[in-house]
Amino acid sequence: MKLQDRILVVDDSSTNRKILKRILALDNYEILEAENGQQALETILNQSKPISIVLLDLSMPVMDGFELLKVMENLDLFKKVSVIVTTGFDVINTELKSLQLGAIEFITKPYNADIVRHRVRSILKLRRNTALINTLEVDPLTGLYNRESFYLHAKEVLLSNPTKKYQLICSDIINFKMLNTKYGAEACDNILTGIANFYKKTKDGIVCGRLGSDIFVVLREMVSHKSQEEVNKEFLTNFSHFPIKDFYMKFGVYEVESNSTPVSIMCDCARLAITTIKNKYGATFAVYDISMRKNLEREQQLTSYMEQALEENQFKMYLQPKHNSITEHLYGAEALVRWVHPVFGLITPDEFIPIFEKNGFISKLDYYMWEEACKLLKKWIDAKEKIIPISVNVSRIDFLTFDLPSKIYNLVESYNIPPSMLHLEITESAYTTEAERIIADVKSLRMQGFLIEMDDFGSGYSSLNMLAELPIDILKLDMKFIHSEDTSVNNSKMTILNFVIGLSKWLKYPTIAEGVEKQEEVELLKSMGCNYIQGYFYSKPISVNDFESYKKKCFKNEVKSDTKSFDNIDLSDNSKPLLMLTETDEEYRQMLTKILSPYYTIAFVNSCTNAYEFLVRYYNVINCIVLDLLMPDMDAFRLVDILKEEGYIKKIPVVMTSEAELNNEKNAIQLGATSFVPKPFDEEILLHHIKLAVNEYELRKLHS
Amino acid sequence: MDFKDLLENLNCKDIELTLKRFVGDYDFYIESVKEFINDVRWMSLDKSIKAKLVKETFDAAHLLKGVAGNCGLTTIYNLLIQIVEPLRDEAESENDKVIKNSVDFEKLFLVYEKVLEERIRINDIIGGIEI
Repeated sequence: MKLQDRILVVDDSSTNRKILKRILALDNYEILEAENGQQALETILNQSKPISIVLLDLSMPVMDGFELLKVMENLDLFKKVSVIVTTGFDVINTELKSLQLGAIEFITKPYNADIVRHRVRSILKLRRNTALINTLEVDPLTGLYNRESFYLHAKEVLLSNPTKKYQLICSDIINFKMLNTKYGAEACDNILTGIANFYKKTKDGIVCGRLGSDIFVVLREMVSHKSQEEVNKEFLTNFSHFPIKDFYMKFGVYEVESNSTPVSIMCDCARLAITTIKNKYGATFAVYDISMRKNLEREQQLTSYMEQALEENQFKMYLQPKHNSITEHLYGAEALVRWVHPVFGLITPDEFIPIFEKNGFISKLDYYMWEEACKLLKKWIDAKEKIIPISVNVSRIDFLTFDLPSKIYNLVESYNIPPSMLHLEITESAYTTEAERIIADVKSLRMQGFLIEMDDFGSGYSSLNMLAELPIDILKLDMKFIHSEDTSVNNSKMTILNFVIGLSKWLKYPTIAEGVEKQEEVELLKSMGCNYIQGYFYSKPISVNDFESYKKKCFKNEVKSDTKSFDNIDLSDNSKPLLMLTETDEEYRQMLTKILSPYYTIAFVNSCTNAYEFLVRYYNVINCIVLDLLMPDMDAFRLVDILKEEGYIKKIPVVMTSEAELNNEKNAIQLGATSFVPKPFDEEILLHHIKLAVNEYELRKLHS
Repeated sequence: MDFKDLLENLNCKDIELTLKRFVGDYDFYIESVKEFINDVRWMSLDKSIKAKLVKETFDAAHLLKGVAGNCGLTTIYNLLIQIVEPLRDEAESENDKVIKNSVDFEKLFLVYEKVLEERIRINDIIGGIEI
């Protein structure tokens, strides 16, 4: 049912009132009457149903029309009621005066019935449109302009004042969701209304609006004598009176350069400025600059191309070699991603990784890299090339995206790669949230045989207690933090480095230092006991092809440096268990060959370095290591230490041999050797111990 | 006598507009004119004009003028204008409790007599009409 519009006819002549009533009755309005201003005011104020129009005679007793207009103005009633003044046709001044006092229209006496009806209809139509516009323009909760009308009104201000300087300040409540949960929706509505009221009071503010749920904006005129700091302070002072203290607002400021820039873009810029300080504690204001938009555009560009890039194999695996700090032999490689875009060229991971971490695409890219690494390892295995472990990055998000243990295990299994050849680099900070779940997954991965490298060790927040609990095999340190021109700073950083390496030794984790650039750093790290080195000192990350050449060259040099290569050892007979023996004395070699060769395939190596290299190459087929304590290049105990650190001893039993000395046997057992056989050998005892060790190998294999 | 003839008899100069103003309702018109003729303001006008009170005279004449106009009573309407207008400036100056020398009340009395004559004439025409 359509609501009747209510019209109040105010005239001291009842005849005149009746006449108007009859005329207006034709259009089915509800008519109220008053015979003077006072009565009219009471009628307006006391009506539960609103009055749309007052038809007001001016000359009346008690309170005349002019007085009523003044009172209505004071009571702000013109927003609700429109006044049409009825006057004699000959009184121009009276008309003007009444319009100035707030009347919207006038009708002359004697009434022209058609004109009266038409004017009333027009005013009602105008009121309805205005009401509609108000509903569309204003945010019903806060009474501020909504997004579109803010744009419109701000634009009007900017275009009509081309010489003035303006700025736009946007705000966002960082913890609004939390407030909603904590206080409930109704309280949050009050918070928003409160904020809106503070916005309305902004000094030099011209137009303000609410752009979204908790996002407000004000266009303010820039006053030349006031610095941005003062403006910021004014803003904060305003909000310091706010009754709720635990809401965190951040403000983005956009200084209007061209008044013709669309206001929507200005708002985007101010909001973009906010995103740059969203996670910065203590930063409340950020002023937009052009680089912010460029970064955003770049981010959007990279996001729009990423899927296609993956399909078209634009992501390339680059490898950076890792070397043993003692032998300097090639130990492994870290797989690093490069994006080679057909148009943009090489895009560095520094640029795209943070974006992919943010949008979740990193998981797809990580999986792609793991698979690339598996493909390469498989290629080396199939070509019977020397195989070295490749470490790949695992992002925190991967744990949340996949059932990571089975995902990676299925992958290596599908390529038939030993899990130990794929090292998983997980940053220390990955363990900081949802630690329990992530630790459980990493433990499970480790059980499956993957080696876990803790990336960026020392940069995270692990407590010592937590560190001891974490399932890790190797700690990785980034040397970036010691590269500084300031030597005094360097000295303290050296102390930290020494401490971190010492700590990892104490925790019995081998260490890899990455980002190593100079010879001095290598020497320093060696002296500190760091086990492996990765960095520009050896090589920058290189393409797979280049790495394969690099790898060949390394192994060629390593072979050259050996007096006797193990490459000529015949491993074709796999019907017998394989023993690796480090024995340099020719007489003992012959003895060992004579005793063991009927039952075992024997591989002699003549140095600890060779032993290590042989082990790295054939670790998955060696059933037992027979180590002599006296080696030319290194204390065999040190080698056992390294083998232990790298997890080989867990898999392959070690039998140590030496002159019978109590300490030797004790040390050997303490270090993790399965048994100790004294020299000169007793054939039976030797065979017994080797047999036990080989059985032990089988048991361990079964167990794993 | 139909509505139109009545208006002609009453010297109405805007018959069509008046007919529309009273939405063609003859009875409503008679009722309104009777109300006009018997309006209490005639008494106020009579008293104040004789006492030469500017504002009171103005207010009463002004109201009666407005109703006369609406009733299409052109003659009396024009006569009332002749009373209202000379008083307007004084009446609206907010200092009008005393007799103003600048207003020629003698002249106004002459007009007022004509008004009374016209009022009687209207009453003669309308008075006998039953509604």
